[in-house]
Amino acid sequence: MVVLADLIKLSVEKYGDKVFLVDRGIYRRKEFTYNQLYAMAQGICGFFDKNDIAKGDKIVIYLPNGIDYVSLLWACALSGVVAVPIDFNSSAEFASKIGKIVDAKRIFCSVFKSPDSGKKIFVEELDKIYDKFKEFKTKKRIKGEDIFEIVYTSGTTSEPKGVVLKNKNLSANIHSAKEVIKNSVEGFSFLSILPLSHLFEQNVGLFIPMSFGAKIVYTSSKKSSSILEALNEERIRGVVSVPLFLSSIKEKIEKIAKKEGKLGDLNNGLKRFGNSPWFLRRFIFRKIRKKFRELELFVVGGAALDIEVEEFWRRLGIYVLQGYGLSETAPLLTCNSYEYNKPGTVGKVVSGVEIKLENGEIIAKGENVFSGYYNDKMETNKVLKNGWFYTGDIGEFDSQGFLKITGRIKNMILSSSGLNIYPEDIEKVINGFPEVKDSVVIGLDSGKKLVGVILPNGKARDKDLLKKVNSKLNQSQYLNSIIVWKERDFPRTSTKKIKRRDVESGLVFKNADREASEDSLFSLISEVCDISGRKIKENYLLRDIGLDSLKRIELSVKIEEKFDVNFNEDEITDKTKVSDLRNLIKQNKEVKEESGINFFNKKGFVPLRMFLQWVNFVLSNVIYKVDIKGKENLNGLDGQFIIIANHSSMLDTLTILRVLPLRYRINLYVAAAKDFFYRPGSKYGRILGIFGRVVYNSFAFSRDKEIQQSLKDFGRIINSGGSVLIFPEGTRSITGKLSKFKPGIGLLAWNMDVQIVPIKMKGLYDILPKGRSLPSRGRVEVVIGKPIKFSKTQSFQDITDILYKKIEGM
Amino acid sequence: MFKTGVDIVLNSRFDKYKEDSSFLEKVFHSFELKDKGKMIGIFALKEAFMKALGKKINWKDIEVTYDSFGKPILNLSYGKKLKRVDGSVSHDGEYTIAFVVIEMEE
Repeated sequence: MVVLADLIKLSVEKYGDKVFLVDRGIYRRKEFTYNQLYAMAQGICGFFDKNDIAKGDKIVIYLPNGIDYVSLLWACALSGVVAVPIDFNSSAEFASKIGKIVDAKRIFCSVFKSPDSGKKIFVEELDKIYDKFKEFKTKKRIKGEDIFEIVYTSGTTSEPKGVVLKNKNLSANIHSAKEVIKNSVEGFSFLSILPLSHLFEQNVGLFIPMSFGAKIVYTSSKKSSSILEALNEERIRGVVSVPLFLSSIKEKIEKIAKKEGKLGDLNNGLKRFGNSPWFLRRFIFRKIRKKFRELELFVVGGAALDIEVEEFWRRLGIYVLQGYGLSETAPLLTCNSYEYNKPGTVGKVVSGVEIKLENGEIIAKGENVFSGYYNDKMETNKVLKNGWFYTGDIGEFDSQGFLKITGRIKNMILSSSGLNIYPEDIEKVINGFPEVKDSVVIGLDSGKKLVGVILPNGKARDKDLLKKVNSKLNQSQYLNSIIVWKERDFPRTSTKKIKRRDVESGLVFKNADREASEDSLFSLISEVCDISGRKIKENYLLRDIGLDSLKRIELSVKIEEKFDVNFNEDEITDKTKVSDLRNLIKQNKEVKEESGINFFNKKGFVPLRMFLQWVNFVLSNVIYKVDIKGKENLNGLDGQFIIIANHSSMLDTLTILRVLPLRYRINLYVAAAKDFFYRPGSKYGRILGIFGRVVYNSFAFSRDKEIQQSLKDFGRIINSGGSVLIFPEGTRSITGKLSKFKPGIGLLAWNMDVQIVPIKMKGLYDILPKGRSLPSRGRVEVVIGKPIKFSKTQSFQDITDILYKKIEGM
Repeated sequence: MFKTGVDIVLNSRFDKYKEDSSFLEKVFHSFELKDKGKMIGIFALKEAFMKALGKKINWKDIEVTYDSFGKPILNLSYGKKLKRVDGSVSHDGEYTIAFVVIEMEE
């Protein structure tokens, strides 16, 4: 039987040097090939081996999506160690609780959110593991019956349920999905939106694209602006997501269209040309489509997709394939395909799966169906009967065999991050409070807002009820508000069950007025400062409302989430009023960027630059000779690195260029102090600046202010495969001895996460020291040191100190 | 010239932020969170540091590490190097207090 491990090995063999994963960080964009990822996963296997974590042992993965997440999943598939992924939105307490339940050997987590456990390993320190075990090769044989993972889908902290999935469950489902997709996604780029703890993302968003040699992009920022940017820059062709994502991007487009006064045109166009041939639609809507460039496919699951949203995208010329499945079925049961696509349905049954309707309930059978909940026979027996899995969903087939979901036996709300939330779990918590008679939890705005509607029993109500309820819930279950139901009882069926839909529609109707009058900034401030929104006035000082430093950070985090902007909280001072804050948020949307790299750094200048450099070399060689030591240390560098060197003479840059091989010089930039070389208003500054750019490829680097911009420029250079030369002393030494490094070098090295090549020049001070304009003749020695790589848990100061000592000792 | 800054934190106020990764990423560097027990102390040190400087800067422009005796070391992450900085933290029951002295270049 073909298992996940085989699929991984097959992909590595077939696509080895192709880019598999892309990590879009704040400043750096990093690519990882299939081969590289395989080596990383083997490194983890080596760690397992060394630490007696054997086949069948469990590890918890409690992380946001990213490269390390994938390498951990691969390592589990290859070694037979069981993965226990836990949604990063759930509390650390929940993660450590699950760790205890499954007796996890290690908990892989982030320093930014970690459970109290002696078994944790920080993902920020995984580099050390990859490096230490890079030669390791696991020899484990994995069979279909071996467990691959245990997925904790939902449940309150008191009764978590773990779905046990075997290797055969996943590989069977990958096989079925491949039948649906055929080869149509070969060479695609996918953008990952949903958490990898979610089966839908794991199988449809990762393992299936992987088996087609696709590229998957992970972004560190979830802001819609960053997502749109990634869609464009990475030429994304497919996105696996939940309905909410499609509707929020649709809203974003409509907002932009409205701003440009073109919303009417857009709607008319969609109405008139929405059904014309796709090439015509592509042409007509090319301006909107330009924003997404090559996007052509949405795979959607998890909840019902609004048919209007589906139509919008279809008319724009983007395929929307809706599917259906559950974690227990790993996950796909039905899916629409390019050939058979019927809006409003979840498609046809995929191959290898059997589906029947029993009293309207969808029940399924197949190799993909799980074998039970972890150590929970009772719950297992409730849903697994005679080999059939009872989904709890109600549906019907149409005459062509398309399945339509019409309801659910279990009530479920799909959160914006794709997590299943069961309202009953939350209601149980709310009903535990003495002042509550009964309650209903409802997801408004397609699950974006969770609202608890309570029926009071007359006892005095705690004004902190919301806070107290939330403290007993998982983060993903947090309620946004608690509303008191004004009538004597909830609407109920004849069997006394609450009619949830009627409560919801009653609420939406009443909510409509409330929303319109409620100012979003006021409600944020009132939430953070814990005062009523009605008491806030535009001309109030934030300080007077009670905004201290802790609350200021919280407010700025919430502003970023709510208004989808980058917001720097140090802009809020003691003199900031509510109205000022409003303006700050508005301005923040239009940040002006002034890069230190410009026209004269363009690639087109390379031939001229190389010629001018050669002329410089020949002329300078008349005056001084250069001896090189340690040139072999440059071997094996991939082009992306930072050179640091001591600075004692105007000739330093030229001297380093003289010893560098041509292939590195072509892509080398030189960081030049903005306040020295690019002083505004200085007479020779402009000419000197252009000269530096053309001959040495220098760019303006800000030493203190605008550090963010400098980091961006560094990132841009390194992302494009270039390298940078920088003098960490910041200025030429007056004595010829090494002076103290500016602290910024640590910050740079840490953020750029590349190898640092230390270079020491000896003798140049005697040839042309600071303050002299004519050089004397002589001999110079250039020593090239071994490249150094730093880890994410080293402090900037440590890095600066290590680099200083290195150069000093050379 | 010497400048001083002091800050006090009611520990329980920090509870709601301890797992809020977006909050923590705004204030702390990854190397500052290896030991969760130091979180509040580092926050108080940074706040006291800003008070000593007399201006608001980005939380992550300051980095706090510890020497082998457990004494905090404060540094600015870029820009001018300060002549000397010294800081100290103390915990008792509900509260954490930090005190910072900066010696400025003349």
